[in-house]
Amino acid sequence: MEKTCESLGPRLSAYLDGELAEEERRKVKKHLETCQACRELVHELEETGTILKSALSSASESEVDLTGVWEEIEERTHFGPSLWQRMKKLVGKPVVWLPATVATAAVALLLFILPILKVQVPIELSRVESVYSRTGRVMVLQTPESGRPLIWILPEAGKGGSS
Amino acid sequence: MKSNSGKRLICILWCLGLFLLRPPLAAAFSDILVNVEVIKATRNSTEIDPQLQDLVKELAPVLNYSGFSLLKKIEIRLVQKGKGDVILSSGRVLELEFLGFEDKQARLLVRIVEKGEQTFRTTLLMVDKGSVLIGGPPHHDGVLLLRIGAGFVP
Repeated sequence: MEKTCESLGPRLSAYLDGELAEEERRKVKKHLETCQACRELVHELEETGTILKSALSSASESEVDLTGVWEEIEERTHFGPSLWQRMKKLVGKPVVWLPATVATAAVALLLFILPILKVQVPIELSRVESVYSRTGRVMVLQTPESGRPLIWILPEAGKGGSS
Repeated sequence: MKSNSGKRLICILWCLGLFLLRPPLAAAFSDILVNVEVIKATRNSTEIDPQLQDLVKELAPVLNYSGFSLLKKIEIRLVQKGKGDVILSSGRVLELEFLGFEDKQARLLVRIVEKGEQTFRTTLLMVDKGSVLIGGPPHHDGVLLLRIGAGFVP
């Protein structure tokens, strides 16, 4: 948009409503003859006005139902912010970023950081659930290095052993 | 509203990303592959089978044996409720029975039968790629040592 558009833009609504002074109205009119963007904006404003008028005129005096009017205005005039603007607005909200950041951090922790730090996650080992020996003498221990279960069957008492 | 659909889209993308980055789920296993190493440990020798170096190092603090020889190495695939036998020596058999999976463990029944009579029995809860040692039965001039390992098979 040109500089003129920036200064005249806010007055377009007043221009349509016939609220501008004669000199200012001429300036806007002259600008509209050369500026396509502002002409489109004026057209959109006119469309909006038409829809609002129609909604208000169909309503009874005591009750004005504006349900769906704004959506219709948006749909017909594409008056809302562009997709890029909406996305910028959306991602700027902490309500989206907070859970997303927490979830990402959790996944990163599990996938990348824990293996790097070699966090002491308890190692699952095989276990001895029950044991029986005819000799009645069994020793169950774990090897010091790996914690692997070791079942040692001892000879019967009085028979001696080799371990 | 259009902004709501944008939020929905971003949420869906995050969920999709998390789904793709999820840790692999535990596969469903049906069988186990049991590895049995039959080892003779003796005090009358200092020879150590090269395949048993790691085991000897591990057992050194708890067992007073100097010679270790690998007599047999067998791999048996067992289905649930499946059984397998390993002959340890004449008249002595190691019987294995895979009782089934429980959580992340496989329940394995191990029995030593000598001349038809059960002399030893144990129930092991094996983790995937885990192993247990059983030793003590006399064998010639030493004792038998069994290394029983299990790997889960989908």
